[in-house]
Amino acid sequence: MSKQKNHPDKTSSLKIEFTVWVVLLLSMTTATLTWFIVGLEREALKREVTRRGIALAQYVAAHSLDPFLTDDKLTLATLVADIMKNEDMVYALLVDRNSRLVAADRSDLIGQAYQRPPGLYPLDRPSPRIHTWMHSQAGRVIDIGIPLILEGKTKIGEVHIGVSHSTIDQVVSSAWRNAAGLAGIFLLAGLLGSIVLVTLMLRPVSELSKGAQAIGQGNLNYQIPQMRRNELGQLAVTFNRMTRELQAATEQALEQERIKKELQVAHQIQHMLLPKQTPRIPGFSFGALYRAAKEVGGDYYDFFQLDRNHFSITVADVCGKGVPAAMLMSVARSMLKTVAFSDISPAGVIRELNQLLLNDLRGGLFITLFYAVVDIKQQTMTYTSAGHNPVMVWHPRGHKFQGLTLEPPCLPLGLDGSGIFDKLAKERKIALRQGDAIILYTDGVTEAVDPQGAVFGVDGLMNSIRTHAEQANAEGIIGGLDNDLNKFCGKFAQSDDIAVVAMKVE
Amino acid sequence: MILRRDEAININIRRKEDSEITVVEIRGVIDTGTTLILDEYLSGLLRENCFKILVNMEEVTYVSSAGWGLFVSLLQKTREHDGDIKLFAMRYEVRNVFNMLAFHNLILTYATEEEAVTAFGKA
Repeated sequence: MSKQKNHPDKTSSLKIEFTVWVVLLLSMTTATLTWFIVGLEREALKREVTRRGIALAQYVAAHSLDPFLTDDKLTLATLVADIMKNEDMVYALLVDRNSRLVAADRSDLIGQAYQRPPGLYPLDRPSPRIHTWMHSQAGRVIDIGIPLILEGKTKIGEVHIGVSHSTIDQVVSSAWRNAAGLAGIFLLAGLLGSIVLVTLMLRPVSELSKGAQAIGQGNLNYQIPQMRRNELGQLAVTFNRMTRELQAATEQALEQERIKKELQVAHQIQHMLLPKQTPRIPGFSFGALYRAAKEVGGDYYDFFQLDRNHFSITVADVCGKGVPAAMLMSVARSMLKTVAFSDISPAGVIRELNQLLLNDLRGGLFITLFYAVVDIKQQTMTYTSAGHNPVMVWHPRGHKFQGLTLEPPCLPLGLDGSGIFDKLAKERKIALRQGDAIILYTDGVTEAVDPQGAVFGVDGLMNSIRTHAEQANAEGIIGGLDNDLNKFCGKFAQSDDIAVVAMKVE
Repeated sequence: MILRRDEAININIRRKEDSEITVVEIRGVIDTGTTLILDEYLSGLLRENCFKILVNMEEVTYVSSAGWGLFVSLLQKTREHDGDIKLFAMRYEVRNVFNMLAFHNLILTYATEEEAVTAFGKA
């Protein structure tokens, strides 16, 4: 629950961020616009004020020429007084050639030297000159100067009138105030608008975030509600599809994991069914090797101590591999265990086993099996084979191999109930001599393949036994064969189950 | 007439003219994997009521126990409908395993297609 509280916080931080940006953008736009508009207004006002000033100055210049020549101070004073009646007028001055004031708005200045405003030079052209300067009392003043020119040639003086800049400044500052107020209203509206807009726009994001959170917590059934058909709506559709696929993949992975686990358990069970260790019988040594091509296999080997004087060895191969073969193998093992202890004759054992299996086997499943009973006292081995590959006997004295088969061969277990099997299931007895090594194996050994595709073969098996059988006991023979097989196959995946049992007469 | 063909294992199925006999020609290896494919083909034939099946083994280099299991299982089904599965032209190395399993007691084999067809009779 506490985790779920996270997402509204994140969304609101995004809201704040978005709003701040909107406000910032809006402020910048409004400020720029206001500055531009106020600037335009100020320029227009200044132009208007200047134009009026020029008209007044030209009026003075036109009417002061004659009184100026006749030194009619009264007319000039009246002219100046008239001009000063105009709004925003700071001063009106008439200056003679010698820069002496002839007429002025202040009578005390008449006759005195004209103090030129800083930066204003004597007028040398007939056109009016505009000059803005800082007056000590009136503040910023626009000085409009016009030369008095006689008969279009001789300059005899100058007219200067000063118009206050304060009106323009007042109008501009009032315009600024109005603009600022308007901008404030706009900003507030923008702020509210952006909050509403962001809330609306972020709602799908919030839904998506909620979905991601649910999936993060393992709820793969979560589906985001349908949204409008924009980019976020498309994202929601993609998101939902991803969730469904993720769920399917997870289920598949779980299923695979379950199968893997079951196969591991099956593997453990199968290993429990195989002998935990080889028997300890004086005068004999034993070795065994088992490798399943998959987690579980259809190969099988076992040793039974039947009575004080007899023990049996079995190697069997269930047709096929994997789980079906392993299941059949465990059934056959139980049956064999029951039958073996009730009958000392190998042929009798496999006949009975065949009958038992026939009841359970269907659809072409069969088992090949080699079963031998060793008489410890007599040093003999009686064997039978149900379609199993020949068992190798290595005779060190003659330095030769003998293959143990039935002639004629017998069918595998589980295929025939018509009597053919019973007729073919015979047994043979051989004498065991010191040094003899008997190797029982399944075809996984002889059909082991190297990376180039060559098979280990019966020759590979015989070579390996020949190399190890003289020196080593049965365990050593198996160890040697295991090494030889590993060397031969390299990292190439094993294609069939492998079971080998070795017995050596010591 | 070639009815079907597959890539993983090369299987041709053709019907003998004027008879109920179907000849299945297999090329390659019948191991655990290809047995499943072969099973589909042969079970398909049984569904189409083709119960007299001849298998040309000339180009088959290896048959795993699962492969032999398939032949044996189909054998019972065809014989229930007065049919059979007969193999012909089996290679030496394949025949060795066949003999070791004593399958000649269950499945009839012939040297040539003609011999196998004759064995079916002129049905």
